[in-house]
Amino acid sequence: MKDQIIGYIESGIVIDHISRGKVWKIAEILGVDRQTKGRISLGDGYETKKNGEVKGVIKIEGINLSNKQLNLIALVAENATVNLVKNGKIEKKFQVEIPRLLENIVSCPNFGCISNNSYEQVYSKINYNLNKKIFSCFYCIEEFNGNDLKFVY
Amino acid sequence: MVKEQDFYGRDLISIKDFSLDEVNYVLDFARKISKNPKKFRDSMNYKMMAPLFFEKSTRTSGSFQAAMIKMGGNVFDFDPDLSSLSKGERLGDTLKMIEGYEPDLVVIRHPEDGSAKFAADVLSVPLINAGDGKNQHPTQTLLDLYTILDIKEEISNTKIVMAGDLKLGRTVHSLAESMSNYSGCKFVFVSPSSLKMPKNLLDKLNKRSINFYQKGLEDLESVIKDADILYMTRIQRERFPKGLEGEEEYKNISKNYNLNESMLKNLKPNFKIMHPLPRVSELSQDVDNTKYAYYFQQAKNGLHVRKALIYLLTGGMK
Repeated sequence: MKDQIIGYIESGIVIDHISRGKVWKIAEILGVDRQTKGRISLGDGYETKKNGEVKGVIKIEGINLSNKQLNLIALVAENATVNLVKNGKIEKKFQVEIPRLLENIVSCPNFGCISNNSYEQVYSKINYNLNKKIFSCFYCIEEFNGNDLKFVY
Repeated sequence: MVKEQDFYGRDLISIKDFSLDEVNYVLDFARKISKNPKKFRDSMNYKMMAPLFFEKSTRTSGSFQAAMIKMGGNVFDFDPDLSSLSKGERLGDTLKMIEGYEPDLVVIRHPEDGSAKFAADVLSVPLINAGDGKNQHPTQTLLDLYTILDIKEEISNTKIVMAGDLKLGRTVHSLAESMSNYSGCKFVFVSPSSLKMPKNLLDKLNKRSINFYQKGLEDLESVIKDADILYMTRIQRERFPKGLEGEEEYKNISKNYNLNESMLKNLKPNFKIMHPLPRVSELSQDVDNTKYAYYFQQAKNGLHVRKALIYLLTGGMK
């Protein structure tokens, strides 16, 4: 079956190559809900041309992305690409990237870590090792993988 | 080549802050101090250390203070119960206040993991972590390595049996990882099945092709026969669930975990027993008078290692 990739937008963002099942989480990061105005298309399960893998796509009219949102998207779907669309044309296209230092974006999964003590007001700092694909807390140096991350919205 | 001045102004949060060569340098330096303490007795004149112990500690705190005083330095008196912390002051604010008193070195123990790194981030003076929660305690690891060196002149090619709570005991994790940097070390991990070495540590040893195997507490007597060192740790009651069931489990485990004099037969002549102390029931007092007991000497060694660190991080005679 040939897929008809979801609707057209005039200006806004298209996020493509989202790993299967992650579209809803990304919509949450973008703050998309029933109150969001403008065109929104969320699609999942499309076959990719390259190797038959399935992917998700999001198109949203009239929004901009913050750096924090981009970092969070990278954490959810490392291979996602972002297209910035203006007047019906793609103005910029790039792949998201997990930064080497995540500041106040995700919390340390170690409950005993000082960065989880709300009274001390220590912002979380998480290092990311791209080669090993391992995260580690700047403070307690505990290592963990992406599944253990909790987002700080 | 590591030089004395390489340490000046640095922090020690985790043993991993030092390269293997740097660790060896500190151990050599500690030995130099232990052999000639007089040479260093005025090396900290007019310098002040601020020991910030937010948790009670007798050994570590005492050892740091003695080390500073014996090198002619001063120790700032800090009592968290009397400070503004008890009025709800945040740690970051307390640290900034302390920095205003211009200490040359801060030593911190705090119940939360990562607190030492946080403090180092706030302070501009060198800082030594004396234990942050269940996380790191690098001076314990250094004094353990120093003690092994003291016992057998080399850390490489040591067969060590580690026994007790290997799951949550930070000293054994840090020591095993550090010893794996030396060639030819062999490890035997003896613990109840519920308190085994964590998988991530075993994975690290496997990756480095380090020789180790795991045994139950009942095998303690047999596995020490060909070992160089037995490193014991206590099993803590608070690691088990509260209530009767937890109490029962703790009692069952601890009654099977005890080393006494009668078990010390057919051992290597230079075999020694180490323990970070305090002990509970795992190590009988009748072992104290045998030639194998080395835990009090181990505690003593903390003084030399801490002297070396204080000297090196504050720039010694400068």
